[in-house]
Amino acid sequence: MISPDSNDDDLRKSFRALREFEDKCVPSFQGILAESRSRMEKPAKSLWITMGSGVLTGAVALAILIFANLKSDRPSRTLAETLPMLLPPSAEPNFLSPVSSLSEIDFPSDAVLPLSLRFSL
Amino acid sequence: MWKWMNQDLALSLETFHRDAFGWACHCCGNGPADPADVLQMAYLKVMEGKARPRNRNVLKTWWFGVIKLTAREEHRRRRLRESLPGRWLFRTSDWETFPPPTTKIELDEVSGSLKSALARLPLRQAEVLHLVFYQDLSISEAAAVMGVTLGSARTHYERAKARLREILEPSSEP
Repeated sequence: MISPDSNDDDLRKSFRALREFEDKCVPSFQGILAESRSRMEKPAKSLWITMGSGVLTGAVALAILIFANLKSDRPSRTLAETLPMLLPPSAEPNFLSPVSSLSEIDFPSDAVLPLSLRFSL
Repeated sequence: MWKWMNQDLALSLETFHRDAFGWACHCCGNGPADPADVLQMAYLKVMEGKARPRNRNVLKTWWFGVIKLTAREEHRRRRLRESLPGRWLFRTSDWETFPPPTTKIELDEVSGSLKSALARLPLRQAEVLHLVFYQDLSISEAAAVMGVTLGSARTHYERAKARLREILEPSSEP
C-alpha cells in the first residue's frame, strides 16, 4: 500500500477544516434510508411521461414509415400498361396489340379494336 | 421489500455514512445536484440490487465508486431538466420526488478558498486530493475509486499538490 507523503501537513490541515464544516450538515443515515425506501415505492412521474412520449414518438414514426412504403409500392401506371388489363388477350394471329398501336401508330380509334369486337353499324 | 441490501451491508454502509456524504459533496461540487439527494439515490441503487459489492474487502472504494457514478447521472439529469426540451417534458414536474437542492453548507474563508481552488483543478487531480487528504485513503485506494492505475493516480496526486499550492499561496500571503 502506498501512503501519501508526511510533509503535506498544511494541505491535510486545510482539508480537515473543510471536513469539519461539511460534517455539520450530514443527514442522518436512518432518515436518508427511509427517504430512499419511500422513493423506491413511488415511481417518478417523469418515468411515465418519458415512457408515454417514447411510445407516442415510436407510433408516429412507424405510421410515417408505413405510409411512405405504401406510396412507393404503388407507382402510377401509364395508359399503355393499363390497357392490356382491360382487354382480354386474343389468340388471333392478326390481333393488333393496343399497347403498340397507341404508343407507335396513329390509327383511328375503332381500328384499334380486334375484329371480334367490332360491330357493324 | 429490500431486494438485496441485508443488515450486514447496511451496518457497513452506516459506518461510511459521514465519509460518503463528504465524497458526495465533492462529486456534486458547484453543480446542480444535491449531495444528500445523490447519496439517497445511491442507497436506492443498493436497495434495488442495481449496485452490489463483489468483494467485501474493498467495500469503501466500491461504495465511493457508486456515489461518483450516481452524482454524474444526477448531474446529467438535472442539466437535461433545466434545458428547454427538458422543461417542456418535465413541466408536470417531478420536484415532489426529486426536489431541488437544499443542502447549503456555510464555509469559513479558508475552507471556502480551498473548495474554490479544488474547483479550479482538473477533475482527476481534485478527486485524488480529496480522497487522500479528506478521506484519508491511500493512493492505491484512491486509484481504485477513480478507476485509474496506481501510476496514473500518483502522477495526478503530485501535480495536484503542486497546482493547489500555487493557487492557494497568493491568497494566503498577507
